[in-house]
Amino acid sequence: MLVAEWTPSQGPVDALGQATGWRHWRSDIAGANGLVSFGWDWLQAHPNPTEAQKAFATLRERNAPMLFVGPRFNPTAARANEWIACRPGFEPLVALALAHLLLNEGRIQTPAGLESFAEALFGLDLSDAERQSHVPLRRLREMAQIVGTRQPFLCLGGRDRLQDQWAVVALNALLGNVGREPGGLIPTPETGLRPAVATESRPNSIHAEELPQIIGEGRDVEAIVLVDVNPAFCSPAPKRWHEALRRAKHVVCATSFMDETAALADVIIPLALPAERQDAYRDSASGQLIAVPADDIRTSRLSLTDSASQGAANEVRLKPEVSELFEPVLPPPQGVLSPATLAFELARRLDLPTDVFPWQTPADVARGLVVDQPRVAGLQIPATAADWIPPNFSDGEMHLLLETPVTLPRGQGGHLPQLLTTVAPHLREWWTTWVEVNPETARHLRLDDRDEVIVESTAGSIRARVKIFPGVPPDAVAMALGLGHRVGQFAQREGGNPAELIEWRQDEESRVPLWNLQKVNIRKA
Amino acid sequence: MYTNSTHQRGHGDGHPPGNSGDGQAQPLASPTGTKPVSKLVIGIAMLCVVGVGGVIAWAARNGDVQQPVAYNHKVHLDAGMDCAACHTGAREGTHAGIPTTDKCAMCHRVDRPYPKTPDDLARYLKAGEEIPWTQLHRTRRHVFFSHQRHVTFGGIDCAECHGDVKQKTEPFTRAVFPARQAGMNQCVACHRKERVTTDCTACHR
Amino acid sequence: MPRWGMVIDLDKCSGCQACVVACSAAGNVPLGSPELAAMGRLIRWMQVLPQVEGEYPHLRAQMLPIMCQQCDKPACTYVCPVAATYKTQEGIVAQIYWRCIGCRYCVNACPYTLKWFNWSQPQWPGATTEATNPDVELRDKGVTEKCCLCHHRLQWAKQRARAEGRSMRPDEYVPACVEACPTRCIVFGDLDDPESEASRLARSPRAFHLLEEVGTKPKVTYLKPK
Repeated sequence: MLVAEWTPSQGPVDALGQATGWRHWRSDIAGANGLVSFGWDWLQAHPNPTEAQKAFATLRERNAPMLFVGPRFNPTAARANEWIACRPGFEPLVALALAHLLLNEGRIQTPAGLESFAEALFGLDLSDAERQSHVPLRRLREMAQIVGTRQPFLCLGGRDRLQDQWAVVALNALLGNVGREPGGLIPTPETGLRPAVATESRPNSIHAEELPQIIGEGRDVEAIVLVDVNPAFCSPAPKRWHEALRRAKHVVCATSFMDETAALADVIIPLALPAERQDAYRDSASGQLIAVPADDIRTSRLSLTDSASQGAANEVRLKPEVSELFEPVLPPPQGVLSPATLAFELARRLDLPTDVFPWQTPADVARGLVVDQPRVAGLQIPATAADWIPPNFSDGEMHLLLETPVTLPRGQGGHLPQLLTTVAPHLREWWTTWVEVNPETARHLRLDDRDEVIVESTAGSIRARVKIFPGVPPDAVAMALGLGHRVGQFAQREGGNPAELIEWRQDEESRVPLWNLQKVNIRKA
Repeated sequence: MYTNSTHQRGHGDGHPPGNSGDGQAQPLASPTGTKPVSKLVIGIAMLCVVGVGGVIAWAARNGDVQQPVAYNHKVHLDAGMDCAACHTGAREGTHAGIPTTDKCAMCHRVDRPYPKTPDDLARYLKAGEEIPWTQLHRTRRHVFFSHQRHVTFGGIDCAECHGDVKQKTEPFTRAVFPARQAGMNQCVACHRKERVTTDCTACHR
Repeated sequence: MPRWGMVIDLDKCSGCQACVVACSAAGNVPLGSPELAAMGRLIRWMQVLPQVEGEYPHLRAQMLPIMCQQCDKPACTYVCPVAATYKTQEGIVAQIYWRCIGCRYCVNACPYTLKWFNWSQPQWPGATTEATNPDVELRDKGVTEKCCLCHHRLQWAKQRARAEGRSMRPDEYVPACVEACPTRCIVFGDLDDPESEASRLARSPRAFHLLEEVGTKPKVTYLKPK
């Protein structure tokens, strides 16, 4: 069972969860007096882009400095006050070096409970950090000056390797941001939906966290329910998903558009409104549930058998050969069955484990059964968070840096015409898969703008057009996730899907799929 | 599907005929000399005039359509109904609208003798189908005509544009405007007379 | 008579392009195709123009949302032989598609190159015709088009106000881009009202116009980033 979870849009979920015990939380970007992002293109990749842009405007109005640490001049870096260019994958080292500087220069005091971490951090060698990360010491000191003189100064990062996440969480903890309001990392009430009937899992059923790994290893899955994700297109090693879904006996897909994953589904549940994806309207500022789906979502009575032939809006399309498995699903007493609840109902019938994600029914929510999370009592930052080991990149000459365009959230929408032509605000490339190449590198490889090249990696190869862009370092190229759709009326007719270049790799500790460790080669086609 | 055939460049049918054909005859005497024009030329020219005239007459006559139900406006208006009771958008809307069969069914019940339900209407009511009226008055996409602005703000009576509907016993078989469609000429003439805006953007978007 | 204009605060623009999508949807802007895109012939009335300068790693960028600058001395209207483009009394530079003969004098005359010519027939396949904005017409091949400040929204606002027996408030007329912008960096209003927000921002010391020296007196004012 896989529910919408696209790791490039998430922050350091695993490390913060271990440090605080929280399951749900948010970064109060608009409330901060300064912001530094370590490699996370938050203006684009934030799960709620509208909130992100509004927060950006608020920070600007308050003249709060925004810093971006990363190898590429992406839109967040372009709009930041300072862009600190660093070596790909070494942003967490910069975070640790910054923490070290802040402590050593006395700009911050070690908070209670973090003494062992601070002591371990004391051993960090700054000149070594400078050499490895390619960020001059002078720049680090400038950063420390900016960060240390404003409170609260929020730190953002992506959901990468666990130790990368720890660096960002530790820095936030040192700065006192964990649990701070406004302007820090704030827990939000635990909300969601739970099926009304508890399930006993079959012995060989899989938990959602293991699923990407199982697919990545090429093992078979018998039944799967997907809600608002498109892994057959936008996940590392998408071809494995493609094959696994084709071989699976029952595939249920709840989605808004016909995409690569839905094309392989047996049952498609159409999601008409954004709220139907999460089965709730949630206030983006506080995370509170503010509307019960039964009142707000215009979902009609869903009945699997008799609606199938008519194919009307909001009704479920069903392939004849699976119809005997699904009896008509009756709506609950309030008369509305929302798509996600239907998905869960189907998951139950397929004996898939649904207890992994604790979801409450709308009725539970209405009755006030919402669990609040405690503020931080004992914040646990292990001393090992200070021992950062550089990443192990795959074979290849150039780093592959991935752009996560705001117009293609979660890699979806690349088959919608208006969105396809607004992908890159800093580039004006339209309707083609482009690969950004540094001018020096292009000269060296004798490449011109719009030349067709083949980009190869250990996982696959695709075609793309060169876009000479000074914002990528000479030893890297960049591509945007979400390009290269083949399914859809307005899908691109040329160029490939950059996700196919990413080989399947998972962080050992957090089991998070890793997107940013890929290296590639490019050559003229 | 958007195709060229639904749009006419320029002002289409609103222009008076005379642009479409050339029925002018040759002068009987050429300007440079006294050489007479041959009778053959005159004959051909007259044939052209007749031909064009015939084409125009044919086009005008073919403007008549057959409506599926013999609707009688006079009977309904004499009974005290308001135009806007069925053409619901006439006062507050952009388009006046053609009523759906539900409207007819509000009064016409096939099991009751009054009001009398003619057979053609009864057939549609029994089947629960919509009467397939042929829409005669259709605003082109590039024109914005708001009934509200004209009827309510302008205080123009329905009859001023649509003719004396109160006396009409047969259904409309052709648009009330000359040459099938209200042309820009009529609109601008009235706007000028009433001193209302003639700004292009008022009607074209 | 109000004189409608816009102020765009470049400090707050995040380059998200919500304005571009909103404008394209509200104006029935032709979708185009990859082939047209490759030729540089995609029409987008509103665009975010990137200006990236420098060499790695010393770069700076400016994101500039641009659309028809709604000049007070519009060069395009001076050259149109058929008066298909003209300036209304309220200062909106309008484009009347059905008068346009496709000569492209205006496309050439515009110093900002923000007039768009339909080199090919706009395609609205299948159900997309039903998704178009009924208040804006669909253009033909051979016709020039551009941002017209969503003046259909002005007509609706006036009509609503008239129906309620009152005069229109300036804040009832909101073009699509202004409505969509999440950072509220686009401010729209009556430039002849000295108290309107647009007027006040236009007097800011950070204010500048594009190609000021050309003398077109654009009613779109930009505020330099801080």
